[in-house]
Amino acid sequence: MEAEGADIAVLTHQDMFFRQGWVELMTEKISELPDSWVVAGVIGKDMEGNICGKFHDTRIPLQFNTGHRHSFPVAACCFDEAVIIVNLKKGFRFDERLDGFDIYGTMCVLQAWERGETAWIIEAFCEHYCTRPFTWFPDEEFARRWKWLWDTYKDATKIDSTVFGVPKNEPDILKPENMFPEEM
Amino acid sequence: MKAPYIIMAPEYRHNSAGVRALYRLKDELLKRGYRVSVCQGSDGKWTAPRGSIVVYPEIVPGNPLKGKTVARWVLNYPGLLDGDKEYDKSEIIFTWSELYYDAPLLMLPLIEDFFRDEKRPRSGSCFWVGKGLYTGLVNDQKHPSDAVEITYAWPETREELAKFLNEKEVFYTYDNNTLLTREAEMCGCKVVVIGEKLESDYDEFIRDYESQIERFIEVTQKAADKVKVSFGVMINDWQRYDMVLRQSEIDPAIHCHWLKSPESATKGLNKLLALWKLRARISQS
Repeated sequence: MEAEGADIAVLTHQDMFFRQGWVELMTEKISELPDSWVVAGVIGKDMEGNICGKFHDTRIPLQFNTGHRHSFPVAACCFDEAVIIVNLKKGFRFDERLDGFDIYGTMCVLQAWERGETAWIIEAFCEHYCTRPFTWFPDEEFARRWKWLWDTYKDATKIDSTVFGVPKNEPDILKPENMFPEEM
Repeated sequence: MKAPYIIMAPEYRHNSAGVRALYRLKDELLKRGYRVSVCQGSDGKWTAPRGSIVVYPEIVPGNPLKGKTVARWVLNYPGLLDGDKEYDKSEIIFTWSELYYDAPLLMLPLIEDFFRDEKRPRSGSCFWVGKGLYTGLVNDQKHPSDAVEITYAWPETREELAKFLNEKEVFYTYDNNTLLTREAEMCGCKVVVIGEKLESDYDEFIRDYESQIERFIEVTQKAADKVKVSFGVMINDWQRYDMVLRQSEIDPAIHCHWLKSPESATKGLNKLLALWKLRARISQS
């Protein structure tokens, strides 16, 4: 346990903005989680693959608010990497075999499950002043890492990422062989 | 925000100073505006809500309510009656007497005003075994054969006990660690302690009880509110960091660790996670 320092780490992107009171709100919502929580996010996907959370990506005029569908906290299958909250008491570390700068918001959930613990999306609105263009598309490197994730976490209940806007009735598209048929 | 208290205590009974102390603590906390509930046991399933402070007397082993903030009130020698002899390092410990544990004192007034010498005619004696049952001293009877025994069940009320002690000349006790000794003295009895006599510090410390309870509240509330948060960020564009994250309306006292252009996200984030062991307000790796 990293008792000398903090209890909770907020790993955030450099272009995230947190309003006054966010820390207090976040710690209050974190306090509602079961002891098994290892990682939490503010925006991600629920276990059915639905986007989940309260969040503003400033590239989009409307805000994400899935409060009509979700009663928070919600068990997550992946997080957007913009904000990942880590329970420091659990000694969690990201699996460094994953290179690059994407999909660690998925992997940390898979790692939590592998440890027999849990991952949650909490209700803690914040803003992402993101400038990455929407024209971004998964490349070969991404495909390689995505496949590695599937190969490594074979027993995972679900593997998903917020970079995919997947229709609910087509969950198989998330399988690497369907997503990147040429590379497989 | 005031953290609520959960006190684990047996069902109230007037004939145990320890039990009375736990309920007096409840009253004192309520009087000061804190939410308090008394829990008489654990089914192993219900756990104390986060943000609450659980108070256990020394007779409760472990942390059955799985409280995040635990205050242990040592009301007797650890492990003598029940419970552990050592406590978890995370527990905040207070003691009724320095004889029991090296910890800050928390002693509350438990003797009512009607324990006083009424100067009435007295005769005969009485005796009390209490915790003396555990010492073996009681096997070698030292009290007169016609002495009347005070038991956990009799006298039935505290008022009746005070009246009874005003009728007796001598009070024998096989329990050298009982408030009954002081109550008998206050009622004018000559007190005979069978075995080693312990010096009572009740009167001295009780004068200071208000500050003791204030200290108890201050320490436990601070501990309940101690969830510490730090931020960590990997930076590849200082301008964006300066213009966005650094403008966040976060208490400047909250640490923000940053890391410039790591080899990969996972390696960078792990370095940040390791940095939380440091106390520096802003650290660079």
